[in-house]
Amino acid sequence: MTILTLDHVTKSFGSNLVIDDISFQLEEGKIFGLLGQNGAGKTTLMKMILGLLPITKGKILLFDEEVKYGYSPTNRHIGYLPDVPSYYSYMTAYEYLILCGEITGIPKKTLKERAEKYLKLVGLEKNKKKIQQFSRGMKQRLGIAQALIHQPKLLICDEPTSALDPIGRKEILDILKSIKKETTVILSTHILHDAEQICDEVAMLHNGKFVVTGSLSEIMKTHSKQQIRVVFDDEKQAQNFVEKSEMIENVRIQSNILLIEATDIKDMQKQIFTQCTFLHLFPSSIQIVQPSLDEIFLEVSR
Amino acid sequence: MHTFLALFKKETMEFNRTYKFLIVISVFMIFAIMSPLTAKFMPEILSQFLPKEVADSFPAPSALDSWAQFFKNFSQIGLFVIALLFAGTIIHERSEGTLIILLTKGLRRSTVVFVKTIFSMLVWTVMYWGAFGVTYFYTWYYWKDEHADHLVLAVGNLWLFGLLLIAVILFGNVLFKSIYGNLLWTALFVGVWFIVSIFPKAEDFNLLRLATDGNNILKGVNDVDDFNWIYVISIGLIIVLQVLTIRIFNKKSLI
Repeated sequence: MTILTLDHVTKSFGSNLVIDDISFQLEEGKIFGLLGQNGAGKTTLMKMILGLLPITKGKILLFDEEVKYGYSPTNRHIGYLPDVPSYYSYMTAYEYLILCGEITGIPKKTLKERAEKYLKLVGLEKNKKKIQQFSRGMKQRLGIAQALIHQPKLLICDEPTSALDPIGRKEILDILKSIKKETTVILSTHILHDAEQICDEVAMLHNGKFVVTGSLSEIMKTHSKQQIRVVFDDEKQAQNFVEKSEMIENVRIQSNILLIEATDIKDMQKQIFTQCTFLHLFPSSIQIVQPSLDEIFLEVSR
Repeated sequence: MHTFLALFKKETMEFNRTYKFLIVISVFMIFAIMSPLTAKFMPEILSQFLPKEVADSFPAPSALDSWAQFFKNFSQIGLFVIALLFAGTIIHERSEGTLIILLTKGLRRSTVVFVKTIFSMLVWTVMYWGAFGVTYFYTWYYWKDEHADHLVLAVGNLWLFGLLLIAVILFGNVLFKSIYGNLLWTALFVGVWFIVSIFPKAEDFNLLRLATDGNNILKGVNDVDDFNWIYVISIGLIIVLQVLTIRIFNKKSLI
């Protein structure tokens, strides 16, 4: 079932076009990675989905209900974790969750149980400190708990791991993975490694448009040229191979290592073996290399 | 209603945990106690420093002196403390982004303004009338035989001016990004009425009289009919300011 529809959505601030006529549909039960450099417009897009920013053109639908700027009833389906969540520092995590729950109208008895449940999920159940004493990682974990307190269908996380250490990042990603069954997640990030770890689908935002969308495997297939990594004993052998192999194009030399791009990987392998035999060169390894999401992103954003 | 109550509870917690309750209670109670005390003992204190003939020429202190001190303290420092405490009530939330999460949970901006207005006015009302009660008790204690006429009218006028000032401060909260800007705006509002008070013809419409005419009411110079237009304008202005505050806040970007 389609949870979110972007219908020709455009956003500009004065003459600065940030989102350029994006149309897109997101299905339920997925972790969707919204990728892009800093300033690409990811936060702007998410804030439009939340009704926190007016849309210049087009419309956004959540379960066929249109998002409105200012006060959007569609927000009852959404949980939101901002990149730098701001809380009332004089409250404890439990008190803050109770406040959030009361605002969403959760009955008192259910709310207490739910607050305890989500504090446990994010590992803050025993924490009685005021939020002002929380670390960045603890604040992000509380951010997830508050975003889930009303059991939303869609969770929007804006760069939740960007300022965290590796342990904090792993904790957040593990929590997001664990809630996938009940909640669709939009994860905005510029850390492509995080997206690779947990996202089912991604979209790359560049110059206001989705330049790439789809599942990670599809993207890998469609947008990446596979490479063959050939390692020689020394740089001289590598150079000798390149000089005498004119039919092999798109090759990069990194000391004694060659990276050869190919559209037909089998054919290229055959050519490399033949050429090595002909030149009496014996590489120490020949390996097919899958490009990373970072490389694809760099490729499409060029 | 549940959002109103939740936010009201939050405001109360914030006021308590950031020691604002302590500040306002301390200041208001000190003034409440000091007003009759100062009136009662000022001649004695002055007699320690002045020649006997001069000191003897002072009239004996009365209950009116106690209320004169009360009006002076609360129309100046009392209202200034209220302005300081509430000048950043929305500005802080906007600059720190603390409302973003709550707004995405279905909280209306109009509820934010409404709750903050009700809360500020309630704090002023409870603290002010509480202070009045304390001053009333001590004034009665020191001057048991004296009775101040139209006391509730005089005290009530200053209370209404306090409510008006809070509406002005809340409006300034959505107009300005800094507390200083809001304080300047509030000072400007009061300043305009000072200028109006120069013109005798505008006397019937001068809202500042709510804060400055307390002693005249007690002395019988003014009565309630002198303030009819002022009440209408004040209450009208409070409503208009509240509507404008909500309208402007609805259009403000919080990010």
